[in-house]
Amino acid sequence: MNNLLKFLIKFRATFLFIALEVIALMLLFTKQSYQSSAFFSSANIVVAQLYSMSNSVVEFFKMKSDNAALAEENTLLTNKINELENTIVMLKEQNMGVTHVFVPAENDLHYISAKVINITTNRQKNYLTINKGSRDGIMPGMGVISAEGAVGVVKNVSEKFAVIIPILNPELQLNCRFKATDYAGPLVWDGADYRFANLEDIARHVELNNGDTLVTSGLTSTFPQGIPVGVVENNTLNESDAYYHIKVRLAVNFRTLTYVRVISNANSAEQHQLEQQ
Amino acid sequence: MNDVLSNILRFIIMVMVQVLLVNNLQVFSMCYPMIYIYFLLILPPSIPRVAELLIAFACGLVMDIFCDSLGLHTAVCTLIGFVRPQIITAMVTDYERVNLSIGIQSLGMATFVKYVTLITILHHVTFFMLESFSLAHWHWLLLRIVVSSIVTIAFILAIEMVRNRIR
Repeated sequence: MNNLLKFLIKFRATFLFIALEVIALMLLFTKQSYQSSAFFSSANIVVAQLYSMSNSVVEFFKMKSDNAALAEENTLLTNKINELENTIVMLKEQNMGVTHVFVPAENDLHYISAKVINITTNRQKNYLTINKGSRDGIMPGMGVISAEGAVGVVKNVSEKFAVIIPILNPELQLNCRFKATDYAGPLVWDGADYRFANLEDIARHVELNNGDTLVTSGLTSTFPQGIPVGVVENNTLNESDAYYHIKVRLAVNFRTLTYVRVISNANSAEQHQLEQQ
Repeated sequence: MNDVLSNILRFIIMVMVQVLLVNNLQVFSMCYPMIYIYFLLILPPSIPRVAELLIAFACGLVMDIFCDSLGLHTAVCTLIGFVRPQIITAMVTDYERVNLSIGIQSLGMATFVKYVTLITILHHVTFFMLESFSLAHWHWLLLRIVVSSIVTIAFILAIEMVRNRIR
């Protein structure tokens, strides 16, 4: 016993090292409880406050280009509203009798605007932090888009902040399809360049060209159908391959991403519950 | 006591610089310098090994919370905390002087550069290997390790020189 104690004391640093290393690797590789806790992420109140403070300084320098982008988006939206109003007037004139029109269940959406306060693009697993949280109605699993296209999915939520897994993270496999042909496959980032990702599982019989547009598939309740994801940059198909190697230029420029919208789907809980049965 | 306080202050400063400045230097995708290890590099060698391990663990955990990479920095920093005393013993001949502090002044330029290079490369190799956890894009991984290490070493040497000049 005495000898054992002496042994333990003599090598206490080594034992402590092994114990700490095991804890660290457990934190790294267990995916459930710690990973989803808001405390151990940048949704942590202290960390997020710090980020939003530093962001308010950086923001000042980005204001000019942000303003231009917002003005452009506003014009686009005004045109769309105008167009839709004209359509409504036209439809009203055509059939006066119809009174009951249901909105399609998957389109019953509500957008929550948020500002990106921290983002990385040069890591293997990138994350971004936004300044809206559970008190604004954000929940884990919601989709996030920007004016340019699909951004990612909400991971951790604290009261005032949320962490998002963007497309630039292999943990997220965004299901998307070709706008023209409807063939769908998962989009996976390989960790190399923040401008490109790879589209997988597109069988060799599919006809495609460089420059084809990819949009979200709408097969999950996270994203509605038809949100731009990117365009095909180049594609290769070797003799022996069953699937294409497709390189996709992403629609969103993650380097300059400033404002995002979180999609709150009113019917996603109902859909999920139904699928569980 | 004064020493403890100055080390805590240095820790806070290094984490802030890393998180608020260096993490935003995303010029190239393969360049991710981690200059916060400067704090671990120049901890006084007289510190007990158990304490050093716990400090390294805490330093990694704080970085992980900031970077949303739970466990990654922690594992790598703990490793650095464990091997650093042995590296110091192996590299240093004039142990009496070094026992006080680690820096260009106490080690001499050549040894200090060697010391920083060794620990930085060890840190970056383990970090990027753990981060990607595959050798599928090994050339890309190698490029990330080399470029990031060079930038980190340059940053750390610059900081150390400025600190010496001020003193």
